[in-house]
Formats: sequence, structure tokens, C-alpha cells
Amino acid sequence: MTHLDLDELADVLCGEAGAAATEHATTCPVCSAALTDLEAAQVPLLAALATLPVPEPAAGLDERLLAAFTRERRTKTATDAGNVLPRAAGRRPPAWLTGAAAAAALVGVVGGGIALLPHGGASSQKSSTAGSATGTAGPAVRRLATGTAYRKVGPSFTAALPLLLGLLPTAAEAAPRATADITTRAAADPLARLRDNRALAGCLASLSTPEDPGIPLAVDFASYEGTPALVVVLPSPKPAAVDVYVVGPNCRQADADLRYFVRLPRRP
Amino acid sequence: MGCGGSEQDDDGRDRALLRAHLSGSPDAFEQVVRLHRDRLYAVAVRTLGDREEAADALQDALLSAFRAAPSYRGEAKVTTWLHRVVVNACLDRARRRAVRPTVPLPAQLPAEQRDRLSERETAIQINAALLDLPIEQRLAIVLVDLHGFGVDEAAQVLGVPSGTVKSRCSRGRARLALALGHLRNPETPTAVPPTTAPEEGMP
Repeated sequence: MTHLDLDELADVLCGEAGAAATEHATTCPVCSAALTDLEAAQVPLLAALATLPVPEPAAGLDERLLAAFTRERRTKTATDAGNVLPRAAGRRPPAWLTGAAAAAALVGVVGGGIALLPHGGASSQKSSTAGSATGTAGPAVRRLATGTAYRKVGPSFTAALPLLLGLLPTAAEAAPRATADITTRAAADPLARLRDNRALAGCLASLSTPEDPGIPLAVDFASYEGTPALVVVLPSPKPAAVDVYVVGPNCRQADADLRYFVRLPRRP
Repeated sequence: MGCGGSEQDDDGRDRALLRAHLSGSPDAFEQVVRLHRDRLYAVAVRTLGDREEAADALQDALLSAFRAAPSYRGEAKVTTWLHRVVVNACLDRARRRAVRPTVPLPAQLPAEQRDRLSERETAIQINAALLDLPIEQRLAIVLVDLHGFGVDEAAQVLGVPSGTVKSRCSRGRARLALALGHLRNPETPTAVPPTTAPEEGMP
């Protein structure tokens, strides 16, 4: 029998080798010495392993996990209600983003200003809130372009929240943008696709359900960590909080292109 | 394994939280995750050798666990079950990865050179040697030698017989001892590169 190799010696050492290898290790002087050597190496090796530092927890991991669970709960709620399925074929957007509600709620795109787009065409926060509360014809979704450069670190989300929730006076409403205009801007504006009602509806469907509390409170065409991004504010399962999702330009029904998630108190 | 109480108490608490989750309690699963995420993340980092990829694997795994919670039958401890889900996610990622660039490690380090290595350099060397192990051996060592799992519990996590875990640990330690220069006599057969001998204890 040829000498045992490292794996075979290791198996002999832990008592998991076959009978022939075990016998060889005891009768062959060379392999016996090698086995002794390997056994002696265990103590310093285990001591060295014990010095390894425990990896530091990942920054932002809690937020990522919370976002994933929150989205999963929304999806489950919708599934249980027989509504939207996240990856199923034939998934449809929420009812509030279809038909007349969509036409009313998502008309127009802002450009540098702030637009409040209630389903009835009236431009006021009161009408939006009323629509949301009654749920009769689909609520309004505040479509904003605050110009905020959101960042993970710092107060950008907290600072923008009152504006997103309509707690501060808004600037002038921007005029709706025609589809053709959107198309011509696509090359220069990575978010141009999401300014289209249908694409935005698909994106929001990846985050929300037709069931309250999945109706977005606001969307903000902005930037996150220096790249264009859409900030979506949704009611939180916790009554005193809102869930803020940051999605990228590729957000669509099958994939939210999620960049960041944070849960914030409604009134800091 | 625990976070203050005995292992039995900890598992009882984990099971209660899992039941609460299944009953619709909105924060119960998050509590289980908060209790174990640091250890789970450490296993993922040490297995994959990349913090970002480990975070991705952990997110995938915990989302799977969230969805699969109704099928948890309680045969293993909750933490064992969670580790198994995370380990499987790491294995999936490691196997999908084509070629992982590694830092070349000298086969032997002279004793006097080893003595000069600072703790940080030592940790880098050990981590590099760990990442050079076959992933099955690496996982066994991470669980047993670095995270204190018993062989039987590690076998539950890895879904293999206990003898296979012992063999993987021993083979992995032998390779580490060779790579890190802990063998006294490099001329012995232990310095011969291992063959692809089948693991003892494999079903």
C-alpha cells in the first residue's frame, strides 16, 4: 500500500477511515509519524482559529430584512385576499391604479415642482385624503419631484417626510406631461419610463396591494445616493409610522429594483 | 447558542415566537431574526468570504424561512433550522459562483515569519486559508470550530451523517494546518496534496 495522503490521514485521526487505512497508519513508520505530526498540529490550529474576530454586523442589514418581510407581508395579504401575486403570470395592478382611478389619480407628471393629483382632478390635499378614506373611486397619489438628494446617512428622509405627506405647503402644481414628451426625455432621464402611468402602476404594484394599507401616500421622483430613484411612501403596519421604499429606474411589477427601505415615524 | 438563558429556554422562546408569527403577530418573526441574525450573518460571511454577498444570502435565506415557517415541524431547534436555511443559501451562491479570486497563500510559512505576524495579519491568513478549503469542509469547520456546534447538530444543519461532519472537519483542519504551517515536518506524507478520496461516512 502506498503512503496515506492528507485526507486519508485526517480520516484516520478522527476515526472515520476504513480498516485498511487505519491499519496502515499503525504499521507504516512514515505514515505513523505523519499521523503524530498531524495530531500535534491540532492544538495550535484550534488556538489560531479561536483568535479569529467575529465579523461585524452588516450596516443596514436590519433595514433590508425589515423591508423584505414587510413586502412579503403585503404580498401575502394580497394573495390571501385573492388579489395581486408578486410573480404570478397575469398579475394585475391594484384596482386603484386601473381604469378611471388610474386616469384620474396618475395624470400628469411633475417637473421640478410638486403635483397633487387627486382622482377627481381637484388639486388639493383634502380631496386626496377624502378619496383615500372612502375608497369609493380610488385615492389620489401625491406625485412629487422635490429635488431631494436622498442619502442613506443623514436627515434627508426625515427632512423630506413632511413635504411628502403634505404636512407642509406645496409648491405650484406642475402641468401634466404628454407621453411623447416622456419618450423624448427617456435617454436623458432614467426615470422617464416611470413617469408613464402604466409603468408607474406596475412599479407600485410590486410594493403594494389593493388592500388598505397598501395605497401609496406619495411618490417622489428624486435621487438616492447620487443616482435617479423613485421614493415611495406607504402606510406602515405600525399606525404611527410610514414605510419608505427607494426603487430604481427598473422598478416594474415583477421586480421592485429596491435600493433602500426605512420605516419612519409619521411625525418626527 | 443562547442569548442569556439555557439552550432549552432559548429554544422554547424561539418556538413561541414562531407560533406567534404563524398566528399573525406582526413582529414575532423579526424578533426571532434579531436574536439570531448576528450569528447567522457571521456564518454566512465566513462561508462566502464576502460581506455583501453574505448579506444577500442572509436576506434570501431569512425570506425563505419567513415563507416556510408554516412547514417547520419542530424536530430541530429553531436556531438549527435557521442555520440550515442560511447554509443552504450560502451553498447555492457558492456553487453558482464561477471562479472566486483568492489571494495566493504560501504552502508553508517559516516559524520565525509566523511569529512576526500581527493578530490582524494572522486573521487574514487564516481567513484566506479557510476560503481555500472546499466549501463542504469550510462549512463544517465554521460551524463546529468557530461557532461551537456539536458534531450532531452540525450534521442536522448540513443534512449529512455525523461521521461525514467529523471527516470534513478533520480533513479541513489538516489542510489548514498544512497551509498555515502548523505541521512540524513538511517532509512527511501530510505535505502531499490530498487526493479526491471519498469522504468516510457518506451515505
